[in-house]
Amino acid sequence: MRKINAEAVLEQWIDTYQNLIFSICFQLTKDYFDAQDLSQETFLSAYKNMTSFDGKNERAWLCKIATNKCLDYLKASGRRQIPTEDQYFISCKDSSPALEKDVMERELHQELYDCCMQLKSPYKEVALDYFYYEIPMTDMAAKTGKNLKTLQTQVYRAKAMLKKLYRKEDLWNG
Amino acid sequence: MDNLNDRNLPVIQILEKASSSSFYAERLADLVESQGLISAPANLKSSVLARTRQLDIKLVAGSNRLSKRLTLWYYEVKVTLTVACCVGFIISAPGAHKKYLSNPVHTEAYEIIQEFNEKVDDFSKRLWEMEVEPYDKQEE
Repeated sequence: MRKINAEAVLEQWIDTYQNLIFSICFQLTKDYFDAQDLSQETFLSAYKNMTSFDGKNERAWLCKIATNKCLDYLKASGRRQIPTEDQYFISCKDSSPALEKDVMERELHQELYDCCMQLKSPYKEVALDYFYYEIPMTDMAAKTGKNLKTLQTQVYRAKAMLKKLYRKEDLWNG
Repeated sequence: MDNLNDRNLPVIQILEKASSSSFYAERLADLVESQGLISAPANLKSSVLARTRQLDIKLVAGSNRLSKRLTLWYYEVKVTLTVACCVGFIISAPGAHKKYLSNPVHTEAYEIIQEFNEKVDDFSKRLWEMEVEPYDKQEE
């Protein structure tokens, strides 16, 4: 029986499809951190169930998993609105897809920056470095001189605070 | 057949189709790509790979990767062991009881308990007679 290196396959899938999966999750949740969590769960589910994959179309298979995860998320969190057609299918007939993507990314990053700035020290700096500037934790530890475990705890707490801020904004925006 | 690009179709229906059909999942992926992909967080890959190294994920993934034959073999071993333990217990039980009572300490304890039970029975019988007899006399 052919032995598959599951980790190598998973790594390849992440490299190829992480942007697609994240985009699907973000389009549905409109929440940066929930989209990140759902993307992570999608790849973990794919890893756990790799033996049941027939090997034919990994793109469709991963999209099915992501969609199922998003549907469960939307059904579980009843207070969140299921996106309407207008929200989901961005109707910019005159603009190119590349332009739409840039606008979306800029808005996403601006929202993330604004939320990070609302936090108090030391979580503000940690959140900006890790989530906005995407500095690896080891580099952050080297730069600040902090213990890696301390940083991990601070990142974890900052993420929880940012999630709350995102949900508060969702409620305000309806 | 419904077209995934049909904007009259409610989003939830599109998602439900895409969650169960490879064809619609592909169309959904094409649609999202046509609108431009957002860059995933840089730490997504490292966090997923770190999570796969944790024991709970490894156990589930490992058990799912066992071949059907191996899974059947594990099941057969478990059932055989369970049956053997049950049969062994049934066979040894009378012998264990006799072995238990052949010990003088256990026999003495058994006799004490028996005596106590008889006294409790006697007491409850007397209580019963105290309650019932006057009532019966009244009835007469």
